[in-house]
Amino acid sequence: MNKRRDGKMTVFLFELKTYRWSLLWWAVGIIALQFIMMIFYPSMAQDAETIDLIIKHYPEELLRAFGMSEQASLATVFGYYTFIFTFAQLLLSIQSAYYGFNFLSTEESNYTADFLYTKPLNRSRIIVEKQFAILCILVITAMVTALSGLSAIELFRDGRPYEAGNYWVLMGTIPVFQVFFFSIGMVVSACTKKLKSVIGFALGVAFFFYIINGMRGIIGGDLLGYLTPYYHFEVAYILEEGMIPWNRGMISIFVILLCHGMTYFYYPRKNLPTV
Amino acid sequence: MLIWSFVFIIFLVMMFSEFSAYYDNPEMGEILDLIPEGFLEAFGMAGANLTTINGFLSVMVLYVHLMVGVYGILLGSNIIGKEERDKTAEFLMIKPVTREKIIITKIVSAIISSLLMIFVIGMTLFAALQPYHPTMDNYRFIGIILGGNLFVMWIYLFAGLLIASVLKRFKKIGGISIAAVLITYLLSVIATLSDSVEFLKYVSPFSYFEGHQLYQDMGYEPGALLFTSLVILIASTGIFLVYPRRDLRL
Repeated sequence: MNKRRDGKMTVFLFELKTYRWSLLWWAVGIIALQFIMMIFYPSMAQDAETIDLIIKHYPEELLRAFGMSEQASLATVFGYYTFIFTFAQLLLSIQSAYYGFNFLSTEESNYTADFLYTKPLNRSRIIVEKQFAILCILVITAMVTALSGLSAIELFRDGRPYEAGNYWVLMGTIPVFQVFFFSIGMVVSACTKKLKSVIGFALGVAFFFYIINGMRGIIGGDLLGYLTPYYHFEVAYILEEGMIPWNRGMISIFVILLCHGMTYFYYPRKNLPTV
Repeated sequence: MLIWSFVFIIFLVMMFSEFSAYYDNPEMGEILDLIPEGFLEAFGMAGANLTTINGFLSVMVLYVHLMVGVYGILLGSNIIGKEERDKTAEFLMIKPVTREKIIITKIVSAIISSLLMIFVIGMTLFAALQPYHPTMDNYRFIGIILGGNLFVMWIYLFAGLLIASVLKRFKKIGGISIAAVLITYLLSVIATLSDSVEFLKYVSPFSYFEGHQLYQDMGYEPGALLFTSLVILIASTGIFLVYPRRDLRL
């Protein structure tokens, strides 16, 4: 016991322990989501194939007017998986944003900040350790997402082909996507006095970007797209081309760096609220 | 409340900035004219014509539903949960007011906030539409949409209130609220995918007031209204049964 206390990573280990149940529930949610949605795939694919035949005869402008041009066919494995994965992303974004908003404000709302900051650790150090813990949790979630998605596809694809390489490229973007939402939450939790409704903020941020992306899908327009990480790492594009649209992806990375810079600058100088 | 209305406004304005690209676009209009009405109807696309104001609004409805649903459930669960989270429950409960009275006041104030929110959305839509010379018909449709939004918001509001009254630990309230919104939203999307799973429509409040259906009937389905009042009725009975007997966690 004593030996572990002497070790340097106390905060890190403590945080990992705190988040394990939360991690479990999110993982269960994401696995369930992907499997349940994939169950519908075989029957859907048959319907979709006939619809595709009809749609082929429509002129492009008409489809655009009905907001259908960007919808990939639900008949192909990836077409349908794009649809599922957007939901998985929504879950991931809520999880990440929630961790982010909780990140530093939880110490204040639970009145543990006074305790934590009397420890012989400087604040940047605390942030780094806490961040690594969250990063571990997020990466584990990403891996769970990738593996469960893959097994769900394998189980229900009915022999329809798909490009495994592209799938892994897509999965590689998950951590960046997660960290984007986490960073936004973190910077807010570092800079505000007392954050009360953490869940409210997390849901608000996650759904905001999700809805913007949904609208972009229907009505088009790059301007909306640049605002939302869903478009920075556009699922349909990655699955089709097998590469990441870096010119858009950079926006996400820039936002992440900006949020981190602000947190590291501001938080060590912050006054703690008194109880 | 302020932050939320602000977000709603930005959001709607952004959507309408994109609408200008579609509105009265002659190219698309021509193509649409060439296609017989009945043909479109057969594919259920008649409502989704993005070149008209009403068509555009009908596409947006689901997203506005989603926003007000999230807002509603958070409002509902927060208004009860926050007393214990912020440790003000003790203070509130020793006041010479019955619990019934507290909960009624809370519900009334939540309903007032929801009405205000609808008002904000309505005014924003109204303002955003001005450049496109809306007609009476458009205003009527906006009214119908707002009514639908209000019902969706109330369903989630009462669900949130019920969740917060029933659960013992306030830390769990958030998780369950998130799950409730996500699962119902997911079901409503699955329901649109295929006819074989259409029964799911009755499970998810997001499908009760679908934009497409509102557009075609210019009114609500009686079934949807029935479900809404049923949900609200059951939830409020539950709240009034549970909340006054609730043990406080202090």
